[in-house]
Amino acid sequence: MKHFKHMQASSADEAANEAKNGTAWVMAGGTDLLGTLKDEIFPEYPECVIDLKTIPDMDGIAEEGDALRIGALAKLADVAESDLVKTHAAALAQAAGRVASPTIRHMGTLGGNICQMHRCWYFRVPDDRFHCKRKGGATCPARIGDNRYHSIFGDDNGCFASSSHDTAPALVALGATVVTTKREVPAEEFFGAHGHRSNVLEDGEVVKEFRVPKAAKSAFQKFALRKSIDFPVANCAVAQTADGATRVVLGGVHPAPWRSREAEEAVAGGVTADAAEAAGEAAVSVARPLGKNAYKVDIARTLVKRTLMDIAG
Amino acid sequence: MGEKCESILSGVNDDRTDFKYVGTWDHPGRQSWDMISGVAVYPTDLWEEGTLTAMALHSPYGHAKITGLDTSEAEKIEGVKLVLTYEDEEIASMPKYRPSYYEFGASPLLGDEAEFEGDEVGVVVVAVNEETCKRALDAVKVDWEALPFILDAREAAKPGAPILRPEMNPDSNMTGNTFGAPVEWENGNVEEGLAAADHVAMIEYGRPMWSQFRSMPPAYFSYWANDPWGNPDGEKMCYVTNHAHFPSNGPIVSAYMGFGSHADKFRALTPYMASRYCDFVEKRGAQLAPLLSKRLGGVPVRFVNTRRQSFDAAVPQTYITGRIGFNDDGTLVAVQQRNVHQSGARGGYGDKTHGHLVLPPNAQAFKSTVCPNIYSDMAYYVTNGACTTADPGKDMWEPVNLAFAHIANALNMPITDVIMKNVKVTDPSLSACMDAGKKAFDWDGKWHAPGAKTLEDGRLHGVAARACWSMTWGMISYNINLRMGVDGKIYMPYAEALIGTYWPDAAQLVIAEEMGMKPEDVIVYYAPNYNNWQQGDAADRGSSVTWAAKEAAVQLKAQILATGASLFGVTPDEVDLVDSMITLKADPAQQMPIVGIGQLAVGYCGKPETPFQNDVVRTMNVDFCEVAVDPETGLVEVLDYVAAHDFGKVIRPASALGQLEMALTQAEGRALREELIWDENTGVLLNGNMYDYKVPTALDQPKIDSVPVESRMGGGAYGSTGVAHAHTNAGLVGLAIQNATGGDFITMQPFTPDKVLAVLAAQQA
Repeated sequence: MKHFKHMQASSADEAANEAKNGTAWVMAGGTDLLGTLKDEIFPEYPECVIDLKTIPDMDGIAEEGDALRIGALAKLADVAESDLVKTHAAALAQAAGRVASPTIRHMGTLGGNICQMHRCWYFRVPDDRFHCKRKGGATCPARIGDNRYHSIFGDDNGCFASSSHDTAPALVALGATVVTTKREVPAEEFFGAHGHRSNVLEDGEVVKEFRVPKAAKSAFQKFALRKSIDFPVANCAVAQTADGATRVVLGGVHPAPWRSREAEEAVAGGVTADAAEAAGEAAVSVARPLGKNAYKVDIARTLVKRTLMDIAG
Repeated sequence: MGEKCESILSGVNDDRTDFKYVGTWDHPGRQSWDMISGVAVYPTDLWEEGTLTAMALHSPYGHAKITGLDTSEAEKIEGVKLVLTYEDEEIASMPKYRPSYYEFGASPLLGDEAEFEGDEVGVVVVAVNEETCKRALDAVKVDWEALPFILDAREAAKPGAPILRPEMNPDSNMTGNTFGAPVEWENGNVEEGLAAADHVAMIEYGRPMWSQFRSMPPAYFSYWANDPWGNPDGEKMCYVTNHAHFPSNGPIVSAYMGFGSHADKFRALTPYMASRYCDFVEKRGAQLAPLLSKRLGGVPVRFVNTRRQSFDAAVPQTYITGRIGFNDDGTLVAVQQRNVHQSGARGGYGDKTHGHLVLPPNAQAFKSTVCPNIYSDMAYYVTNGACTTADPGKDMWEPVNLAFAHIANALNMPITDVIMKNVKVTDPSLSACMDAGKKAFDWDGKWHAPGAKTLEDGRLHGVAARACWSMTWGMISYNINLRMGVDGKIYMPYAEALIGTYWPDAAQLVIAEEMGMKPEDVIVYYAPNYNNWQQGDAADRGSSVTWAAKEAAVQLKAQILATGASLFGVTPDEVDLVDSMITLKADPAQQMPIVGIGQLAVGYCGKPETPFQNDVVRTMNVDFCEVAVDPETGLVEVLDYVAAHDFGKVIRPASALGQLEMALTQAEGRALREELIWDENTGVLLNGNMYDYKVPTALDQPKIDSVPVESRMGGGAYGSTGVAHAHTNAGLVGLAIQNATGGDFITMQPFTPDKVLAVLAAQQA
């Protein structure tokens, strides 16, 4: 690992200001960033890493009217165990509880989880072996390479990686808002393949908190090859408001969480076993798997059905 | 049950039954205590003031040659102490055949050709720290000529494949990219056997390359210091870490024969290695570190790899295709198979001169069945994977059990019946394992025809069993030296780098048992440059070691008793050792401590009399597996795993059962997730880390029920034998999956959801 300066921020604005020229990167739990720095996956290295953990009062979980306010530095373990979250945003609690391992969940934060970079193995091979589109290259090597874990719903800016953050589909399904030092962004518009980032954040922009509307019902399911310390092959979050409107969001199937309006239409009349099954079929009806990941279509179909059944009745 | 093989049940396999320590629990092991307490020093722990760091250039290509090299900018970087290239005279003079005899060919220690992505090639630098090394390597201007590469042994087997090792097989253009000539073996007449069989079936088997998942990146630490014994020519002594589970300084010494130095000039620094499995090939840093230190006046040099650079392959690809013939009663009557084994670019376990592959490995296993007609051919095919070093031969009972499963399905028989009908060796070992395992697993209650049972949660239920031999390993000669000190303790030095086999702890109990000493009075200790391992291979070494330890203990006890008898004024027959005390047999209350009676020592070097490998007594093991298969996602969960293993005699239960559980956990990972994956377009390893190479986590570990069986038929002390290798087989899970789905056997491990779903889809179609 190369040397870098280390700065402990006292506020989100201070961190954002220090990071505005792009040579400083921000770090919360550090469970993702430090690995990428060790492996030197990028051609460029940050001059400075700004530690956000020293910012006071940015890890709270509180109820505010018909929404929850969750600080970006809230530990994943705390989100998973919070009675407020479990009661009003069950999908988010379940998703946070499925991230990585207990150790990592006690270090990693909700803000860090949604900002972690894609786990695409072409992107992550050390020493910039694959100078892919995300790093300024011309092509996405996964498109004709080993894409068994990649997108089944096409590309985003030429990238076929799959979103790997477990909490992202839950936040999108719940209709959450991401509050940064510059703006408020609906979670649905927050994610994507933008340079090395997996979201729309700009240099000098730091996530401060999340506003998560209370849901009448919500649920999350994850499919991974290991029971612990594994990124999703696919995951799914669903959320239902008091008026019965249901959102269905898949993760691990596209560079950003994939909201399936086809599936939502299938359960517009209510979530029953038949509707859930139809929603699963509808969700994958527009899938475009790559050469080695057609099996993920079956898994996505099943996840949609099963996650919806968790809120049926 | 067919014919029995001859057992050797005398001498080493004596029928002693009065064990005080052997087979009992709660004996703290020296090594395990070291590891758990933090006392154990690993190579990465070594550091001294002034230590410099060394790193090598690693190839970004699957196969490439350096056509131009300019190190001038690297040499200018502050903090860089030394830059050497492959053209350096001393490096060029290093032996081309490196220390592991499992390596082959004539590639130099540091050459201009990279044989796989990540290969150390061209340049090494020494600098004040790792970051400076990296900067220096980044500053080296390299012109690469990318060369053709092969990742799949089946591709390498095709005539016309790029030849990576022409020196190993001059006829490669005719036989594919082989290492040596193909081997054929035939018994009986296979064509006639197939023609006469009631049934003929095709079988196909494949397994990928697996990693040895090294959790700790290796660091090779070396320095030169004045020889404490003096030396007329002033030559210094080299201290160096040892990173393969070779004894003592052996591989280091052999690497430096070119220096004109002597074996006693190299001293191994630590025995602990940290989680490596069957890796016989050193990374090149192990040999380069002493050279770099020497060039810099002997200062400590720590040669490092990043965690990615040290993520090696170990177990090679194996592909088997063929036909089996069997009769209506379930008897296997003909086997015809072709074996394609992979070798890495730099090495493989295929050196026939060492006797491992006198015949194709699965033929060895089929030879243990009643089948009279067997034909098998085999060759090693060289690929551009990283070092490939583990033996594909030992565990090749998987195709045998696959054949048994085909027979069972065709005849609607439990596979357990097919096993008992066809495996011809080692009753009562096989019967005992089968009976104990079936009972523990509730086989009779769980077995069903393929595709016949669905669990309440909708998952498909499957079970399977398989048999395998446990190696008796009479091939190794072990050297055990015992010394009784003036403190009345018995000392046993060991020197082997340790990877989890913990044999000194087992030897300690055997010595205590045999001599009449308390275990705490038998001290095993690490002794650099000592050599326990005299010849041969060392898998499942417990059998050989305990045998040699027992022989040495008997001899030392005789010396002690002779001395003690003279002090009592009686004959040696009239005294015994009891709880570390010389005891008068006629009056056990009369005891004398052995403290102070003098120093006595013995040495024993030898091996069990049990012949090696073929046509010998074989202790067996039978494993049982229960799975649940999600028909909608293809996800497989191992619900229950029973391993009935004939240990011959359990010496140290904590070690024996621990080995078993380790092996079964490894099997679960290999069966369901593990494989090394390269990008087919570039030859770059994609999953060289612990996230993407999916070893089991604690939550993935299946429920394991270890059922020890003691037939006393092994080659070691009291009839003990080895444990681990057989259970690392992944194939059993595949047989259980087939029993669950009722569809085709999956022909390629691991049994991932995509493959399971493909089988289910084919059934529906």
